[in-house]
Amino acid sequence: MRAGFVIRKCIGAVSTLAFVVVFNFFLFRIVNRDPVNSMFRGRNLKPEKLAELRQKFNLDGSKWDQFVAYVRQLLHGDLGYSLKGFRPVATVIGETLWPTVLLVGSSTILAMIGITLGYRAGWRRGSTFDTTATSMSMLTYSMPEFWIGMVFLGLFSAKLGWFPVGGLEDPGSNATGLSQWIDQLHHMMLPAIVLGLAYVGEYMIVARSAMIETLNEDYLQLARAKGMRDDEVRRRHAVPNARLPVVSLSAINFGFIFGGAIAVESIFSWPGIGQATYLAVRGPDLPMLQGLFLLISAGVILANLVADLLYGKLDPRVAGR
Amino acid sequence: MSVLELRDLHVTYRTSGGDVPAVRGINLTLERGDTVGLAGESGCGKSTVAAAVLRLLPKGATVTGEVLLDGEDVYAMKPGRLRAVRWTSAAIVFQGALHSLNPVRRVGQQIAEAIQIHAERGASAQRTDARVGELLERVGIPAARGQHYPHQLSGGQRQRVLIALALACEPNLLIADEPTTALDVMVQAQVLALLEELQRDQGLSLLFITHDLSVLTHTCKQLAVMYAGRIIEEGPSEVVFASPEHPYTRALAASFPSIGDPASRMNPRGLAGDPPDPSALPTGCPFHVRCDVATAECATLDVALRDASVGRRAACVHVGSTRV
Amino acid sequence: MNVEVETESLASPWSIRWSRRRASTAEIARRIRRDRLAVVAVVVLVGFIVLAIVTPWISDRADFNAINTGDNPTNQSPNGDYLLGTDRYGRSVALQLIWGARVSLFVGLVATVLTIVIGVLVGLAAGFFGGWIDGLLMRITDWFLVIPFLPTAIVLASVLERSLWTVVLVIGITSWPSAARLVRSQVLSIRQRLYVDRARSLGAGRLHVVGRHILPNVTPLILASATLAVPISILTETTLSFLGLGDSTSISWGGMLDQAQQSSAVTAGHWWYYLPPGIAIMIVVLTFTIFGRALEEVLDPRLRAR
Repeated sequence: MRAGFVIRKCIGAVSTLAFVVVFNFFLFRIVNRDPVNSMFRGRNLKPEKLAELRQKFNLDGSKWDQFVAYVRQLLHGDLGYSLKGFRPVATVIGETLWPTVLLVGSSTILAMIGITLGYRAGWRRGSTFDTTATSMSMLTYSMPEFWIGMVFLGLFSAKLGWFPVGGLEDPGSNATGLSQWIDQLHHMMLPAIVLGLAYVGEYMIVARSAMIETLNEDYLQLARAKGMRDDEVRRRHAVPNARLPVVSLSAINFGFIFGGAIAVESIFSWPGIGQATYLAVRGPDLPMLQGLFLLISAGVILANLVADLLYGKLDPRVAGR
Repeated sequence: MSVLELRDLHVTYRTSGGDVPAVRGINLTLERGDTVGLAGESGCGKSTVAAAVLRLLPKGATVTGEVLLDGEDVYAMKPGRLRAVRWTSAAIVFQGALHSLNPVRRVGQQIAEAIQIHAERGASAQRTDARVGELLERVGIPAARGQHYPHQLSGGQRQRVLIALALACEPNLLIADEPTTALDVMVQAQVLALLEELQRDQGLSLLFITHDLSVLTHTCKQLAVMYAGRIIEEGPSEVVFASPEHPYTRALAASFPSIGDPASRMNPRGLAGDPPDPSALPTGCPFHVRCDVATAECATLDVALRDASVGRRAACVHVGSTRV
Repeated sequence: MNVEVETESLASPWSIRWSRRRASTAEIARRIRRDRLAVVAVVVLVGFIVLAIVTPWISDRADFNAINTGDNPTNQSPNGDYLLGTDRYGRSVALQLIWGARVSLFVGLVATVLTIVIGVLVGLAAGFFGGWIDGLLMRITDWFLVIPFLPTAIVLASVLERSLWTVVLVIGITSWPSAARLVRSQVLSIRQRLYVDRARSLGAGRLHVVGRHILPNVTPLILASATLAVPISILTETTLSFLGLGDSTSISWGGMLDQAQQSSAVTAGHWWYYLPPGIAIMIVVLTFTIFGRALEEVLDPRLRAR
């Protein structure tokens, strides 16, 4: 991969992030012109306290000054203060980040099973496997992910009692080490399955059509003529080419899964970023929302960057070699 | 024992619109060291013949007749035997279009793959690399180019890579399927020269498939002309080109103006009409619709190959008579 | 070259075009009719749309504004009086379901129209004018594509006034990039075709070229992607309503699910409250997707070969 390619992509990512920061700031500023006022409405505050708060919230000076102050705060890791209990947003994020990473990570891995299914379905287009897999994918794709969560929760937790009804751990449990891990895993299984199920269809359909596109290529016939076995032709020649659109999709899908996590976490009371967002929306806790939005966008931009670089590695035509 | 023998080969494709007969009874024999050209317009079935030899036809294709490679019927082989025979008994030099080679793999690796598939006990990486380098040099490409990807090579270079690839397992038979079609004339000449040289040096049998008749006269000793899935003329290539028996061959030969001949430059004679649609062939002789010497019986009589003179045959009512 | 044309014997260009369009539409309809699944999908879809339209005649909207006065049974499972039971306020779930269809379909369709309109304008401009306009528009499109869709929608919806039109606006603003990209690549490939250049050399103005040559060729693709975009709009609206960002005065399927969640219907086992809206969403989205795919296969010449 040429260095130029990598640098270009990184610059692109940074500029998109910058755009998001600007967008974020002005959007919230337009709506929430005076957060101090809305927070402490009706309460009497000493002027010094008021001035201090105003400074904290960057309400002094022109819009440009406010923006600069905002960016400076960001670079120091200060994301403002939540309206709920006046806790620093950054702290709340710190607490809720890991559970979401865990959930989104495992769901993505589960959803990626769809990729292998898709390759197989595309390879044997029109077969029973193909039609079954495609119909199932269309079915799950048509359901809102939080609804799948509700159904699963209703059936497997409330009715059958196989899984806990929500949360990260059993309330009041003081288990540590391995048993804590197992408890958390048990709690995570249902939401992870739900989230994975919601997006497996997408992966499957894209992988399938990518495979179908490669089926027409001449180099597959050449590989067969060389005396290769059918499944090897698929693995060594078709898949490496079919992989490319899938990689692009993965980046986009990451953004969607994050979105899906918002609703699913709220259903399962999973204490992650998603639930924090849900509560912030319901509040409404605008500073919190602003910080969360920035974080989620940054995560997705990063995922896109990784996918772009990966694509460059897999497809020599793109990276300018 | 002949290297390749096609006995009454029929290939029919099953499509949504019905059965399409692409090849309708081909008989062809190649002995060791023979060079045979198979000429015809697009749609006449010649590429189907190439694919049929190594059993590379798509699933919807029905094949009857026999395809004997070194005496063995390809269509009676078990899958394992078939895979072993592919590339080692016969190899195909495909047209060097951009996607004949896997775009995300280096060209050297793709050649090495062929070697490794057929290596008896897993050749060492070093030996394989050395062999790949050898093959590349043999076709006039510096061995270092093996590290490149297909899109980094020119059309001519890609074609040479495909030739090198075809030679990787030392086959007896090379089937060249339109190897020079996408190339410009200078490069074409180079590739042809290369093929001739290799054929001579290694005593290969060559089945050269193309629509370009003029190319065949030089590279191949024998020539067979296909039309609508059948061979309609065969004989020594130079003689067939110089004095064709079949009206179609005549038209085909005349379409290529001879360089340096002012008369033919001023007077190129093409052929009216389009190649026949395999799913809707005319009755009788399939060529009669476009033929300028067709008689009444041509519309009803489906002619088989007739002897025209020693070693020459053509499928036309006018052949074998005194009429020229 | 001066050739006299007998204008009496020729049909007018307008009627020729019209009959050609009718013929191709008939051809498309015929092709789709062959796909039995698509036909079923269309029938079901039309059924839903009809149901949504006639709802005001079937039931009275005012019923839902009444808070439980103690007369209506709450949280009842399906029985003779209430086909799908009642919710926590004693309102009939079945009636809410059909009222919800109006909102979901309305938002889905209108939001998609907005998406397509913006997308087409941007895509056409970028593809047709090229140069720096193209570069700029594509930069903007790429930016919008990278920003995560749902969080953006959520933020916008939180920040703006809560209403149905907000939801429509939000969906339109976040979904147009992919439509724009699609249109642009199609426009580019058409531009490359010779006949556009020939039209220009005949003296055709830019608008003429766009209207007569580019648009008719782009339209089928747009139509197919629009049909596929509707399910996405519906799902997004559902999610936004579920999060409480929709119009709280209107009933939507997403809103019903929100209410169900708030009243712990899931853990309480009140399946009649949360199952029907989800199933309804699933059916509508599925039928739109099936129909959209069938349309795509018929209209996109590239796919037809397969």
